[in-house]
Amino acid sequence: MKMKRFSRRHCLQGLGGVTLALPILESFSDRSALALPTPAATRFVAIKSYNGQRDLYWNPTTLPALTQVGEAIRRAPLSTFPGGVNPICGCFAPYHSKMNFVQGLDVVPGLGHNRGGMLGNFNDYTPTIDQVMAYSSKVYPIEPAIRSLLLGYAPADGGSFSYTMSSGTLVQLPAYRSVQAAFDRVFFSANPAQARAQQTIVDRVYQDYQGLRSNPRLSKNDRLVVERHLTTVQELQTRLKTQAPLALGSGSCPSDPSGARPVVGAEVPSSLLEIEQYYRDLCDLIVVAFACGATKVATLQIEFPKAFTPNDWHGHSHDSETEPNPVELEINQWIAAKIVLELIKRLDVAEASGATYLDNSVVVWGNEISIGAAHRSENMPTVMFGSAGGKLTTGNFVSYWNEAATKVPTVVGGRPYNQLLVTLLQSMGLEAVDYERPGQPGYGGASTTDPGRAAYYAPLLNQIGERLPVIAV
Amino acid sequence: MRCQPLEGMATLARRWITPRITSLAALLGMSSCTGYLESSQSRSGSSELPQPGAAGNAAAGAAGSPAVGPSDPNQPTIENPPVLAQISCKPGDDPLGPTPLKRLSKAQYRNAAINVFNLTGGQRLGSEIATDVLTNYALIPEDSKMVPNTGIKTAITGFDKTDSTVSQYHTDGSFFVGLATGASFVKNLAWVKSELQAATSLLKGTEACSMLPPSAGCIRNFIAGFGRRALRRPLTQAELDDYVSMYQELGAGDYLAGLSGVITRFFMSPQFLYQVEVEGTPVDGRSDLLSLTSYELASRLSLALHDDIPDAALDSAAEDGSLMTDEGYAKQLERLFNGGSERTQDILRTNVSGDSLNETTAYQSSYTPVQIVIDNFFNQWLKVYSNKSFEYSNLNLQALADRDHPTYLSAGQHHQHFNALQQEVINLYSYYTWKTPGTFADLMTTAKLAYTGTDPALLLDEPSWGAGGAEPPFWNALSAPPMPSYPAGQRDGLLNRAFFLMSGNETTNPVRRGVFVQRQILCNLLPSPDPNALPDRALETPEAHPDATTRGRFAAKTAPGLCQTCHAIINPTGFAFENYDSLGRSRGEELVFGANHEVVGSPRIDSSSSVVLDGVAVEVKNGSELMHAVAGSKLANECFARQYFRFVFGRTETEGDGCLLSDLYQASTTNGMLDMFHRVAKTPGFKLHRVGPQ
Repeated sequence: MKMKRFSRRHCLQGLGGVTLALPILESFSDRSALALPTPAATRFVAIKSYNGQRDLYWNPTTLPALTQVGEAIRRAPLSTFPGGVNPICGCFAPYHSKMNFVQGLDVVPGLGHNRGGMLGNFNDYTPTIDQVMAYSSKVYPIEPAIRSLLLGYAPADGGSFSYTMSSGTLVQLPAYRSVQAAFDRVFFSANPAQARAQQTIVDRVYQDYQGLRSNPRLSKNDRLVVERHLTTVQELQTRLKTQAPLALGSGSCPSDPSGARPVVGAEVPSSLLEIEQYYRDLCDLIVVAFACGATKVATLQIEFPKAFTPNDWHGHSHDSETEPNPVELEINQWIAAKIVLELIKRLDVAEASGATYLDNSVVVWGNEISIGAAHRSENMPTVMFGSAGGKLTTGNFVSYWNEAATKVPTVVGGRPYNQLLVTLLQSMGLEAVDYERPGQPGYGGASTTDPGRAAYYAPLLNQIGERLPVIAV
Repeated sequence: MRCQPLEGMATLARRWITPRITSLAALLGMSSCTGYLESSQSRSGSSELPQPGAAGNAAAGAAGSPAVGPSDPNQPTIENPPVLAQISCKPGDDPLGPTPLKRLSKAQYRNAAINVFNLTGGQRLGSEIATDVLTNYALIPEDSKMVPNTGIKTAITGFDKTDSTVSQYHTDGSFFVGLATGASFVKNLAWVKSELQAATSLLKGTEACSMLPPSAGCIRNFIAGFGRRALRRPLTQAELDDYVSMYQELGAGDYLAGLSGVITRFFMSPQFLYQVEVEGTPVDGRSDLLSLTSYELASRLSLALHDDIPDAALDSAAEDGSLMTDEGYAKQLERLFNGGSERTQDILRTNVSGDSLNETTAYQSSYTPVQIVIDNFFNQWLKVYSNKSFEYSNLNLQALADRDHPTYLSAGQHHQHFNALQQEVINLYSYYTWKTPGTFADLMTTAKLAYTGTDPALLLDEPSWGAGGAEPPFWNALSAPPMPSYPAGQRDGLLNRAFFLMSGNETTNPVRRGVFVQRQILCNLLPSPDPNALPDRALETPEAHPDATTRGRFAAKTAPGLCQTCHAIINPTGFAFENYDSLGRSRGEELVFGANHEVVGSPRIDSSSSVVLDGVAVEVKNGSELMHAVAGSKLANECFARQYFRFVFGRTETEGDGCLLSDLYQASTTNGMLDMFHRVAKTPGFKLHRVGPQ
């Protein structure tokens, strides 16, 4: 497959890396109040990879002196890991001051392979936190172009790792696999003429449904179906008319999106090199979407078609809990360096406030499980970047692993993962009233039918609605 | 096996097994103890966990729960008619029940979106544009498998086509698919030219357009021609004028923008998204019973058999009226049922479960559209792609496997084994459909050994395996010598295959097994439980005990009267399979594991049971005997016809559907399943639309 590169390379000048960093917002020419993302806008990115991490490569084998800062809470500055916390995260060393490495967060119910676990759907009827953010008026006082930009390839089901409950049942939301399609979605109404045309089309569609509704041969139930559909068309009409315009032509936001459209043909890249480029394109798109004010919430999943993964990623990740596996190490190093780091670089560019996009964001890189071979849900691999506009501290290695409970950090012994979810939600400006269910503090399920697990976690559940100590300001 | 009428059970059967639900709310209230049990196959991946009810997000958004997603339209609840209680047909009965306005399933929408470009052009534009369509088509939500008017909240009980949900995501999805498709289409002028020619050539006597930019007349012809395919009927004059008017507004300075907009609107149109049947002729003067127009009939036929819009030949038969003749209809039906397709469906596997078919097993290129659709029926009915694999991180399960088959669940192996067990099911229903057409009873009692995995270790407890030798790959075996069989009585019937028996963990799940049979095979509308009505800890697994079998523990747990409302039905059905362990192996005793995964007990199992079928208590000794009893059950055979009806028509059967179902039942029991699949389009009701209460 021939990949003709984004002429977005032009539009992304300044986002391509630290060395190319430009004060992108300073060059905005059109400073319409609605058009600009507010200076303090906090953004959220969740990056999820699959099949877990091998204990051998993820948990640091040698630790610097850790400071006990609370019961079962220990901390060390990341600066004390000059070569990186572990063999996988070594490439993050230049960003240690803007990063947190978190150890000892456990999903109480236990998961196994899953889709939405990283963001709070523990195989139950709980939507993921990105959707809570995306539909919060605190995140979006004005209708954005796209409330959540869900990206990446997932061969198992084609969906994202985001779930909604908006229709009363749990729905896994789809992800954009195609860079082109995602780009078109972000900029679907960027051109004023296009926007007007879309409004015209939807207005006519509304009339089409009105026409059907008046057909005397519809049954009562049929008419209700049409009316329901009409309501959704009406909502679309409203959104199109009230949507905040993009900050086109300003800084890194292209002035003419049609000229910046990527020209990658296929949604499934067919070589490692193309996979790398594919994810870089998606990273670029996230940053552009942020810069244009098109969205504040993005997710990116990293899963490859089996046939394109060297020697079967899934197989390698599951072959042993304890034995070395250089291929698995290489794959996860590759993900860290070629995807996560690339996004971080692109985000670490100053915006109007002087802080960088990264400073005003919270980026979390997680996984569906911890140890792949055992499909464990304890000590979930968690790396965070950005301070969410000052709501989070950074530069920490934090361990919530209770050494008194277990000698091994990858079995029951941490604190509930739910506290990370609460931390992330509040970092986006939400409060408990925005996400808690009646009688259920915090976010996400925390029950288990395993008596041993239940006994361990019981005393920790009274903190489940609180943010993570050390990390939360 | 002996049968004896049992008054108490027969009463229960009348109350439960006939799908007569007179008070759904009452049932929901009574069904207090089933929930956990059917969902506890493994720690991970249950899609059947109880919903939070009033505390759920959508319902409780105003009460402080997160408002996630676009606001759900605040519309009155659609109350569907009750499920038909008994299948019967007598002279004067209606040929079918009320036919609701049906949204196309996601698969049908996908096929329509692609093949609307591919009807006449001969350019295979559809397949070229498919990539662009598909990247956005993913934004349309997966269809849930909920049975709409039963109150069963389990999302995988029905079929994708029974999902009648209309959400903001559907509208937004069709909008963005339409935008993307329109934009993709006009970016290639060769496509535009080709499609202009193709669309206008549909209009006989109309000169095809060949020049760009197109003339006003050419555009009008294009809208009329393309619109006929998109709306699956000719546009009315008013519609045509309106589309042309919109084109002129959008395309004043850029004809491509106008064309793109026209396509977007078609893709969002009600006639594109729904099966709209409102133009028919009243039958016998009845305003509520309409004979479908030729275009409506073509659309219904194609969507039912191919999950697709009419192809060129069918469209032509609709246009010239030949489809309305017996001969012309039969010709089209046979062509569609038996023929292949040059269209793009062969590259587009239908996603039957939301879990996706395995992309590494490319669909058989030789499959006809009908074979693909019937495969989907079986896969959804039997939940072939909804089961979870072994939860092999469960160390007790590993210990169970290790006892006889030490490498069975080793890393990297369990998925392979799971896939092989899954394939065995596919092999069996395929064999009885396409190779040696059989009946539902044949499938329920078959002893055929259709396992084609590479490692038969799990099945080594079956003496026949060693004697029979390894099987060749099944698809070759379709034309190969007869398949070997398990010894009679050891593993008779489809549901005694390991795929249906595995639970994911070290203990069997007799409740899940029982619910599967009751819901899927007997059409018993067991509702999901209301967890809020249950006593504390009611849904927790009964604790293990060295001397207690799983059966014993579950029987004790569900003994209270409240639980028995459902479990008197569920448990006996599931207990009959207790002669198989949670890996699907035959067993005479159950291994109970301790805290360190050591065996601490091995009580003898008891798989004898008394199961109510057709109102009669049937004594069975094991799963094989149960399957023979099920095969002979009228209720079960009728259920098979009901399931196919639901799949084809995308709704549950209601009053008025008795004659159509009788036809299906007769075809299935007399001539076999394949005949029933064929027969549905020959029933009188298939050509009619009945308007529901107004």
